[in-house]
Amino acid sequence: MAATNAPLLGTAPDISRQELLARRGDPNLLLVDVLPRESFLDSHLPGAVSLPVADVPALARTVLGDPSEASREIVLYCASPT
Amino acid sequence: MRLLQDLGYTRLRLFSGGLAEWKENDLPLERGILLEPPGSPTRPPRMRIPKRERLRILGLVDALASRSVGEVLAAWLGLILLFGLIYCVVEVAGGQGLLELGRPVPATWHGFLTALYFSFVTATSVGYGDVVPVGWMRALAIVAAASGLLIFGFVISKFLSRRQDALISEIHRISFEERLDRIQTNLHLVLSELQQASEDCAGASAEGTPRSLVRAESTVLVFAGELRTIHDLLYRPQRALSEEVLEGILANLCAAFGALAELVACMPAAIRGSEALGGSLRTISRLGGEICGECVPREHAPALKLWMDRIQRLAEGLTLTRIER
Repeated sequence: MAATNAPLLGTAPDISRQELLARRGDPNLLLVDVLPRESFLDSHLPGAVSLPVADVPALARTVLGDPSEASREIVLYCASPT
Repeated sequence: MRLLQDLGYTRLRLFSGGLAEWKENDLPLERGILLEPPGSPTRPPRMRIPKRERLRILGLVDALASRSVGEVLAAWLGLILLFGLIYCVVEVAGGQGLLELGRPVPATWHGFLTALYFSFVTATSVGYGDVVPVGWMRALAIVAAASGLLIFGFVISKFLSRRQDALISEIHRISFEERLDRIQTNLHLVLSELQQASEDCAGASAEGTPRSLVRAESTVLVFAGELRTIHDLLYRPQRALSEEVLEGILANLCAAFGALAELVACMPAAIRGSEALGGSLRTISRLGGEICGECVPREHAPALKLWMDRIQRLAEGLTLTRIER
């Protein structure tokens, strides 16, 4: 599934819904909604932060923190599997 | 996400089912809050004017600003009528309110009309001076004049701004259409230039003719700029875009991607990796790779989504050609 999303979502390993549910509230997991802000405001997965694709270059550091000291896993999601 | 990997984030994972899978399984969703990520610095609280203060300053102004021209005009006329009635009531009650040419205004029908006339003359700040207030009625007349002028000012500014708003939105519309025209023309030029360049490249010797490569370089640069504009058009839509126009743009973009891929495949590796061309190509494959039917903020027709997905695949192919060869 991940391959079909390339290069938008690249070759990152997949995470299942079950694992996401099990790790709810885990401080080492950051859920990131890459959909536009309007969609985020309408609905998003619990605990997710918003980082629209168009804003990635400008806002990635603010939202995700410095990449060098990242101990958290970053889980991205889009609208649908396609 | 390659974009994020480019920025140095390595521990990335993907929930490929996305929002759709979550919704299908009836799992809880949140809405409307922009959460700060844990550990990020909290924003300083915004300076706020105390509520009571704000109400006092803005209460009347806000109330008027949110009304239509007709309503504000009606409020103004109502105010004049109200003050006219107050002058009249004072006359009926036997108090000394208004003097007409030095004589007290009687509490008759004529007196009522005179009071109304005085109210109009005061509220519009004309002040002919044939009817004058006496005693504490002077204070009332000052209040009437001040509030009448304030509201009348609103009527005029509303009337003018309505015309101005219409004009501004017309200007926006025209400039937006011009922008679309420009995108279409430029894309067309880029497409024919790229096709020409890839033909030249295929026919040339292994080194390629430097002149045609310089031309190709500048074309690729223009293409990158156009792609950025189209990317903005899709991801930061300011106005509704007609589906036909967008389809034309996307189809042309697809064709241009195809021609560019041919050109890049034919180029010698040294030139492909040159600073100017390499940078533009990276931008093009990054921006193209982000265009996907599911991720744009507006819902588009399925045909348009297909075009967007096709562009994404072409951009992906371009990346592979760029890196592998």
